[in-house]
Amino acid sequence: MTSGLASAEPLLRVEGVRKHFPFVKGVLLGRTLGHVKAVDGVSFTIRAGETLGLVGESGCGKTTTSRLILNLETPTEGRILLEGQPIHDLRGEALAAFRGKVQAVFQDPWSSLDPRMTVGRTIAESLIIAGWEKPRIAARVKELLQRVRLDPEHAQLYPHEFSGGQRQRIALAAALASRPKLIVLDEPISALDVSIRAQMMNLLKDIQAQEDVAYLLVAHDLATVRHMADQTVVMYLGKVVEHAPTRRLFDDVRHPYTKALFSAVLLARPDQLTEEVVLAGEIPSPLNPPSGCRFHTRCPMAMPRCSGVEPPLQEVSPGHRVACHLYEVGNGTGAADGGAKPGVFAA
Amino acid sequence: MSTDNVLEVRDLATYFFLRRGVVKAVDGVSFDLKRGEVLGLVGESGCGKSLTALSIMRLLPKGSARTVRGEVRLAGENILTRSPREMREIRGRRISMILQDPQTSLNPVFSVGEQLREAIFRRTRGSKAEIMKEAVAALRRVEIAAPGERIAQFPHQMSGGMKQRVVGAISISGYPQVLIADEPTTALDVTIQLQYLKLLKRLQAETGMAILFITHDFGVVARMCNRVAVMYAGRIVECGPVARIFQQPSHPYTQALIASVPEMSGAVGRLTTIDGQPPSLMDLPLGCRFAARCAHAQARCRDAYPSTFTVGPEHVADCWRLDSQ
Amino acid sequence: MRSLPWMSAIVIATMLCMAIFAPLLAPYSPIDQTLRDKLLPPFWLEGGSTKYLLGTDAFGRDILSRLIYGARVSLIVAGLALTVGGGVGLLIGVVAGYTGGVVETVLMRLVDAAFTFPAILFALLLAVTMGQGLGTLVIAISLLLWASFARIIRGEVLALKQRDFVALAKVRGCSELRIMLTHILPNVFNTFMVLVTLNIGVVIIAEAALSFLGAGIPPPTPTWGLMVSEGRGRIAEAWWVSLIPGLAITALVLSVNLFGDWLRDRLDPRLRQL
Repeated sequence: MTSGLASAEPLLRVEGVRKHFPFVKGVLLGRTLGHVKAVDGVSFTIRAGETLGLVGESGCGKTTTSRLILNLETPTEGRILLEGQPIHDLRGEALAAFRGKVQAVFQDPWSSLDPRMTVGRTIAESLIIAGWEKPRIAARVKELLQRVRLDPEHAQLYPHEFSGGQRQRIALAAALASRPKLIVLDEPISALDVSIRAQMMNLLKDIQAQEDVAYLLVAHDLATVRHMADQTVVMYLGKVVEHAPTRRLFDDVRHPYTKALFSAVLLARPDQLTEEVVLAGEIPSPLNPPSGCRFHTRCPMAMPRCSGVEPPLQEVSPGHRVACHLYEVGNGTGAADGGAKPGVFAA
Repeated sequence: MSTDNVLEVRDLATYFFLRRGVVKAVDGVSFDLKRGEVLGLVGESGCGKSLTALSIMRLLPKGSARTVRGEVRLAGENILTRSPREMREIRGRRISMILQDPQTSLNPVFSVGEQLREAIFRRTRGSKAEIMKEAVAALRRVEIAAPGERIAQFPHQMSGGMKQRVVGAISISGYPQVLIADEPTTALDVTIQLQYLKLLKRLQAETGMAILFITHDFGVVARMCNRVAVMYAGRIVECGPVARIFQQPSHPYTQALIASVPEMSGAVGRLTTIDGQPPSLMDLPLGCRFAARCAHAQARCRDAYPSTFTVGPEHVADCWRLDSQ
Repeated sequence: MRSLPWMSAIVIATMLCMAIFAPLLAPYSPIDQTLRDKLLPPFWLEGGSTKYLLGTDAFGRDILSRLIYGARVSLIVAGLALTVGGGVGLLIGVVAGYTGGVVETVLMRLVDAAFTFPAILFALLLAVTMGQGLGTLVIAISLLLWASFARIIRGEVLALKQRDFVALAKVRGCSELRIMLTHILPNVFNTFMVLVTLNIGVVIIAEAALSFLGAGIPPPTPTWGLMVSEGRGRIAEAWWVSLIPGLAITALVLSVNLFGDWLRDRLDPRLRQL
């Protein structure tokens, strides 16, 4: 599935990225009242052909992270590298080359397609910009429609003539046009009906196998991530709280927030009602995040240390990193209740 | 009628009368809601579940939609024949509703306290101070911290989860016998959803009200509901206790739907999908509406709409395959 | 969705025919004076004849012919003013809405200023300084229009900017200019067309008013507004000189407004599905 050696340069590197949005009041002479720390120190890598799942709830920063990777925003600090090259501050040909390599599919099928363009024209957009000739473009559009299991003769129809699931497939076809190396999938199935989601997930996996394209899958649903992602990153209020290969994460959840997330996944198994971790309170605002560990205000395992010192992201088992004082290497308290939760989550 | 049932729906049908044709969005829906139970109504978009709720509440969009037949018996009396004035008394007091989008459920220009006051005032004519006290108590009941402060806040100052709680507080302020919840947690974060569902369950236990819980999420059904009805193309195709439906889904649509949801355990493989699309509600087939997409369809299925067959205790499904003859 | 307003469509079509085929339709030249036949009433009244179907004015000019040729002038002025004023408003609205920031703020303040301007007075001023004529008139009326176009279009563009397909266009490598031309403009086109039809009435009345005040096209070229003005002094005895062109203005503006309403309903894709 993956090409090249494991030791080769990963396809995407995110290094210590922060994105702070100034919170400004007033129009002409704006006063900066503070910063929304949407992303506050995130690092991970994605290898060619693999899927990284980015999980979290409102305000965790996953959407901002995906926008940074798409070069729709520039980081306040840190950098992002694609195939070893920085992706921000690019111009001209270098920018055009980057655009061809990284594409996206967004959540809302009703907003993702220009209602005044035929779907063929939308799919062809990146090719038109790249300067392809018309006959070549037409052939490729037909081929792409077939790839996403739609009728190639429908290229001249308009978006409103298709259903939600079909529109998402059209958006996928448009993303595939330039043969990208990485596709950012931002909640690609959450707006679709349950039975359509399965179709889309199967399609995404098939295409990945055929094209050897990597995915950054931003999702809030753990079951989807389990089904599609090779590695999983859990975010909370702009920080990475846990990061592990998916199988390992699902077998051995460590961080209290991740445990709560797992607990909140309602299984379609009424006979297996799991022990529930119900978090108290609301998700704090990223404008004014809690001190120390950002999760300490809602954490059922919070210790005095947690409100003062931010826990570093540390490796607790091969490939499995957690940012929590409970597991801090060299910390006297040791792994208090860090044990695995087997049973329901064991594959 | 059984005194166990607080709501009985019989052959409810609501159509949209358009220039192009008639859309049979709800086409003969029948179910019972027992006192104190949570009944789930599950289906995908376009199946008619939300419209069923609106038909029961008689809150259909003005214009082309009309309930053409059926009865909705609330504690014995058919409310479909009541006058608009009588319905206004019934809504909020005896039967109430929570909607999906907390953003649009609350009026942005009034404070939370004022909106609660309005609901409470309809029920008890007290002094302003008394009503405010009740309002604060209502917020406390839905587990909103510092209710005394929150009462003066506006919706935009609150998170989605908190807004849904306020909506919940307003809906139950009249102590209704029946609460219809239309996808109340779909727009909420997962951990917030869990909080909210637990709250709903607690309130239900306290007040003894029955809940008709509309959702597309089987996980929510497993957690919240005692019984569940599955809807497809305007009709209920299967109904039964939650445990039985999950253990022994009998209608092919229910089976396919449950099978298409990715699991949290077990092997990660290809997901089961359902080919094709639901039929157009303007042009419904004569026989079973799922036949065109069903792996087990026979000639019989296309000729006549399946009768209701009993699969187990209180568990029924409309499918010819279940006909033992 | 309502069905096509037939009466309005017929009126508009008639006016268009009059404008286009004026030389073929008009029985006389609009500027020939026959003083002998001055102030004759329309044919259905005492003293009128079928020679001059709608009567004559103070200079003996045939009202019907002047009406027909007047349609031409009114529609030309309307067309030009809408193109210039509407076009400028569209451009400014799109640029302001899409670019945002300082550019948007400055442009929108300009729009605000334009609204507070006494437009008719300014038009009169222009007429005095630049001299009466088609060009001056078009500029004056355009100044009336552009601000409302700009404001409405900008609002529409702000909403459009948030749609995912704009972000996706960027992701595919579209430049800002290309996005404005290929994505934003076509999507505000509907609104623009509706604005155009709704403002035709405004423009025609503006032209009539300015001509009435003497700041429009100079005589003897007939315009409906001028014709109304010319009959001013003789409303009592020769009411047809002012009333007939006045009725024509009313009929056209009403028809265009009704048609514009219908067009807006028709072009809204969401309503289209019903």
